[in-house]
Amino acid sequence: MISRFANPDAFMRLSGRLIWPLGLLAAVLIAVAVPWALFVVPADYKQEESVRIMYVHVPTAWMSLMIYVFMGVASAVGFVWRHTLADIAARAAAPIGTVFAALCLLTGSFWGRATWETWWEWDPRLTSMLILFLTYLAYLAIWQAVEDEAKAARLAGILCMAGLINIPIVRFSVDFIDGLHQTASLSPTAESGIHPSMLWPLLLMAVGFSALFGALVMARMRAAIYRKRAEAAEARAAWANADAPVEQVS
Amino acid sequence: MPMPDFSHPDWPYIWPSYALTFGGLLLLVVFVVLELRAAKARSSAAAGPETEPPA
Repeated sequence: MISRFANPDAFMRLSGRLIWPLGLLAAVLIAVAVPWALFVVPADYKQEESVRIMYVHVPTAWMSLMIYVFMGVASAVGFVWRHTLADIAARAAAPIGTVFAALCLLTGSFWGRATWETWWEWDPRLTSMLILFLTYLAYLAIWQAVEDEAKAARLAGILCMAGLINIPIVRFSVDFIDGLHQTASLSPTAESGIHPSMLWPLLLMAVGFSALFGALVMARMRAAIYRKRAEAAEARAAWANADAPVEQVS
Repeated sequence: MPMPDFSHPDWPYIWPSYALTFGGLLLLVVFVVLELRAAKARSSAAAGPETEPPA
C-alpha cells in the first residue's frame, strides 16, 4: 500500500487534482474566519479584546506541532523503507512548519505583551516552542549543508525523529509544570472549555490553515519531483553529448 | 450585533498579530508558487522539444 502511494507518477496525478481545491478551500475558510474573529466574536470576560489573537496564535501552534509530526512520520518511512517520496515530503514540509512556528512565537509574543505585560518569559511552553522552532532550523540547515542527498535525508531524518520527543513536552508542559501560559482549553478527550461562539471561528481557521498546508506541501513536493526529473534529463543529455563522435578536422 | 471596542488598548497588539500571520502566509504562498513554476519550466526545458512521430 505504501508503495502505491510512494509512486511519484501516482503522486503527481493525485496532487495535480487536489492542490487547487485545497487552496480554494483554505482561502474561503480563512476569508470567513478572519472577519468573524476580528469583528463578530465577543471579547473575553478576562482577557478582553486580546483574546482575538488566539484565532491566529493557537492554529499556528497546532500547525507547527502537526507539521513536525508529519515530518517525523515521513522521515521514519523514508528511513525504514527508503522511499524517496517520504524524504521529499518531510523536506517539503519543513519550511512551511518553520513559518508556522515563527508565527506562533511572534503572535504569542504580542499576546503575552497584551496580557502578561511581557514580550517573552522563559515559561516551559514558550521555551519548548522555541526549541521546536530551532529544531526546524537545524533540520533545514542539514539539508543545506550536506551535499549528498541520500546522506542529508538520513541525517535530517535522524534529527527529525529525535526531535519528536519535544512534541509531548510542548503539548503537556502547561499541565505538569507551573508557568505563565494557561492550560489547554481544548482537548479531544474532554468537553471544550471554550464557548461555541468562540470555538467555531477557531476551528474554521485551523481547518483553513490545514488545507493551506496540504496545498503548499503538495506544491513543494511537485516542485522537488520536477527538479529531480530535470536533473536526470540533464545528466542523460550530458552523457549523450560525451558519447557523441567528435568530428575530425583535417 | 455589537462591534468590538476599537479604542481598547489591546488593539495595537491585535493588528500586528494578524498582519504578521497573513503577510507571512501570503509570502510563503508566493514563494511556493514561484518555486513550482521555476521547477516545472526547468523540467520542460530539460526534457527538450517534443517531436512529432513520423507519418
